[in-house]
Amino acid sequence: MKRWQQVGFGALAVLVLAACSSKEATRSDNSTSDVPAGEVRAMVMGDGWSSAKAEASVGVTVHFAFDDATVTAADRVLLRPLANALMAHTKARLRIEGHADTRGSREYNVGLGWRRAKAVYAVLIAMGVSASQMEMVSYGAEKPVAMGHDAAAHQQNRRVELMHEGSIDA
Amino acid sequence: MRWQWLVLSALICFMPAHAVLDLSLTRGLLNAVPIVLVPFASTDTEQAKAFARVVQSDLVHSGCFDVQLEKSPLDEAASPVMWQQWRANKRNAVLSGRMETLGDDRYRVTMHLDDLFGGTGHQPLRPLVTRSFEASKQGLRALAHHVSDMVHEQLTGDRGVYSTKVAYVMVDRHLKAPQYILAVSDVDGYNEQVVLRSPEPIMSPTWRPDGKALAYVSFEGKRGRLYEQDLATGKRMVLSCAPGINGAPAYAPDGQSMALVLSVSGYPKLYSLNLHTRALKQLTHGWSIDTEPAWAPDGRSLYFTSNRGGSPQIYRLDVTSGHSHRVSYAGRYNTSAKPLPDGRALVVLHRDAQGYAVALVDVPTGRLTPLTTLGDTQSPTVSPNGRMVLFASRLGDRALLEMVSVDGRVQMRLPARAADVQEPTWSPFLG
Repeated sequence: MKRWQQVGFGALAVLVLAACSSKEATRSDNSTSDVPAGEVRAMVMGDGWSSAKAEASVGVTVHFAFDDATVTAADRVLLRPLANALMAHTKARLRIEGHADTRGSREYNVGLGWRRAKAVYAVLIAMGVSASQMEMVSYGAEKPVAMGHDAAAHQQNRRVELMHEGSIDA
Repeated sequence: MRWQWLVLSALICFMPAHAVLDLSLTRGLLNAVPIVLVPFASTDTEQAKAFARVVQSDLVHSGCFDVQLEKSPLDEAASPVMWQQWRANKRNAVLSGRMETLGDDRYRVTMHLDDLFGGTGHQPLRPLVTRSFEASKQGLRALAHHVSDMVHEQLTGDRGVYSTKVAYVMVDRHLKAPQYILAVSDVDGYNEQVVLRSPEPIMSPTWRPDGKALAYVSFEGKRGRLYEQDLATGKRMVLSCAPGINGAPAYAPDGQSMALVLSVSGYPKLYSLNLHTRALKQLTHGWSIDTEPAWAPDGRSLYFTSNRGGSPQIYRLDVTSGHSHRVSYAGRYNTSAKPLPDGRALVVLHRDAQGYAVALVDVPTGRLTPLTTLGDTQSPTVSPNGRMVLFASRLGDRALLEMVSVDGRVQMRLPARAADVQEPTWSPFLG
């Protein structure tokens, strides 16, 4: 992750290509389903693909208003202990996962989730956390926690979740 | 209707019948062309009837035809009487033919599409299309779709899309953890085949212009990467795995490059990836969310969604000059642009206070016309003949697919499945 942040945009193309080696594709499990030869061949991803590292939720979820990516003052207060823990345990890493509610364009929702993750990231940076300890990802509307379709469900889904690897306990 | 579909599939498809997309028309049929469909004369009457039902279903579900299906082939002696009757009932044309068994499970199928009017003394019916084909039993369904294509083109002037396919994502939430499936099926829902099964989300499938591969976003490994997968072999390669977002793939019409979204600049921006050299070029800049690139048919401009003006709207980027300008002005939310093949209009997802709807935007004027009522709608995709829009919708708790004609006259709902169905994408014309 550090490499990306330190490199200028000019070298971007080369690095992007280098990072996607053919290894990525061959690691997948290419078992075929019961499909006749010559038809579409399926790929089935086993559970082994999921991250093998032990991840745990930090226990803080940040919520957002409709179409918005502003971290409230109350949520900033909740993030302070996390920032302190990350500064105390410099080997711990944090994944900031941004989400959106399930309505509207799915790719635009990935963008909204990204902005929300970035907003939380910015708060933690401002509190002194090192960028090298943090990673951002957006799931857009793809991983709702509330399956309903009313305002309450949408409110629960507009969120950032925080996952840490490595101990951050005192 | 369901039992008839099962008989049909047993006779024609050697694939087991899945829950087929039985389309229920939700809006009326005006100006439909009235035709008569006579089962082809054959010693294999069951096969001939099944063939006729595929053609009937194709034509009826397009919303363009009012099909009168006769019970059995025409008796030669009775034909002139029948023609008179059909003319009196204002039927325009009749489709009939023969299906000869050749042995070895092969058939020679001859079709006659005739104009009921415009005949002369010598030739009471004016022939429109007369063709002959040979097919195996397994190939009869595809041949029926091809016959429907020919009837459609002859009588409406548009190319038929009965032989095209759709890809879509299904999410099965009945298990402990959701399972995500990318699948491809015929446009009528038959022959569904799984392309990818994954414990992590799959998004934004899109067809390569040659119809032989799909690009998509997969979150295997916990973050989104762009893949291209060959449909015949199942082989795939990673197109992009930059940190952050790798999203919204869109092949250029010439298949040489792909537009996509990356967040490596810090914000989601459009990039162009040369599929041969793998060189990457940044197309848009700044701090907004730019996403959903969609190529104009001439490949010279790219429509996209951006909130650079404060709310998500459609913009067009001129590829040569690099300049973008806004295209949508109605309301505060327009996304998911998909240009029609003639390039003069876009299908978009429009939102206002009551919800989301599929709408048409006239490119020269910016005028917006809703095609559906407002609800929980997303992901429109346009048929390659520019006549139909397939999109994702919700009915109660079920996520399913619906179709609407571009002129808004005909709307139909595909039946709900056990799994949520989302993100449909219509194939180009195939083969």
